[in-house]
Amino acid sequence: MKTFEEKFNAWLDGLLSDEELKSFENEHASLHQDKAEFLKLKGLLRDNLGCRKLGNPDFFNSQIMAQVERETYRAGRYSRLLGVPRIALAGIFALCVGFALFFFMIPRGNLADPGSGYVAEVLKTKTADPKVRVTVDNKKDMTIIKLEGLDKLPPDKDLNR
Amino acid sequence: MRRSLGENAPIKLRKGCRFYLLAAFLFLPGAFATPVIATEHVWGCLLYASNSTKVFDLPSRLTGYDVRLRNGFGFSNYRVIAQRETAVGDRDENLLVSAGDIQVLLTNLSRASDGKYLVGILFLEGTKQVMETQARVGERSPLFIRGPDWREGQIIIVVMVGS
Repeated sequence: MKTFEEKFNAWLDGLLSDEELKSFENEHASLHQDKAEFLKLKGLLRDNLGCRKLGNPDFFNSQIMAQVERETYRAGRYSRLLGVPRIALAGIFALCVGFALFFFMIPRGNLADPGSGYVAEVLKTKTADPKVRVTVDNKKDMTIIKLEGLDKLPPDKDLNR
Repeated sequence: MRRSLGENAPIKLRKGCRFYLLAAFLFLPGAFATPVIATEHVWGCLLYASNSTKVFDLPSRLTGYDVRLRNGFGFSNYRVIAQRETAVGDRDENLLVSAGDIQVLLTNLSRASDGKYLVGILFLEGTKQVMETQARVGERSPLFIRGPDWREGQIIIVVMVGS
């Protein structure tokens, strides 16, 4: 359903259908005076404010073209800044930095257990004394080389030097 | 708008510079990341293991090993007799730790490609060579050697790479 303003504008512009025109003029008979004033004003404006041709058309054209070029350059610069290769390179770079930080900054292994990550593997043992027997006790988190048959150290021997 | 070859030259130069800057940024830190073997530190320690009722603290480097020591050696108490940290130099033999006649020497140290260390250890009593061993150890992974009996306990040698 049209509002009063819509109907009023259409009435001024002569765009109402016959039925709508009759109905609108019956409902708002007092508006004829307003229409007469509007038509008078329209005529005055048309007579006194006609299209005026501006001078120096080349100057205005060149200004417009310069503006267009500036806009094109600006758009091109932004598209170069955010181009696909650049975004891909930035992504690769960010990944590299992320991996580098991950490997160098984050300690690996179970921090609660100091034995995690323990590596001690005896490859070779040699003893000059045939009395001494060497065995290796390899546990998950502790490797012990056991020397059996060693002479007991004298109790009075001072090892605290 | 097409640019001439001369106009393109500065852009190509700028792109080339950017590539070298990026490459430098990515790879230059690598030059500082690889430690030189001469700066490696090896810690040697002599412990006296006993069942004494007197309680001693373990060295901070062996924090968390108290239960394992108790289970592995069967003694309840561990006292530090001597400990020493050595910065490994170019010499063939480095004294790791000594107490009385007991000496523990580092005969070689090299870093394998997997980041582990190959260490050579020589255990001496006076001038007598008791035992020589080659082992592959990780950083901060102590290697234990059960040494001679002394008094009511035993001497334990501990060698660990990394400070």
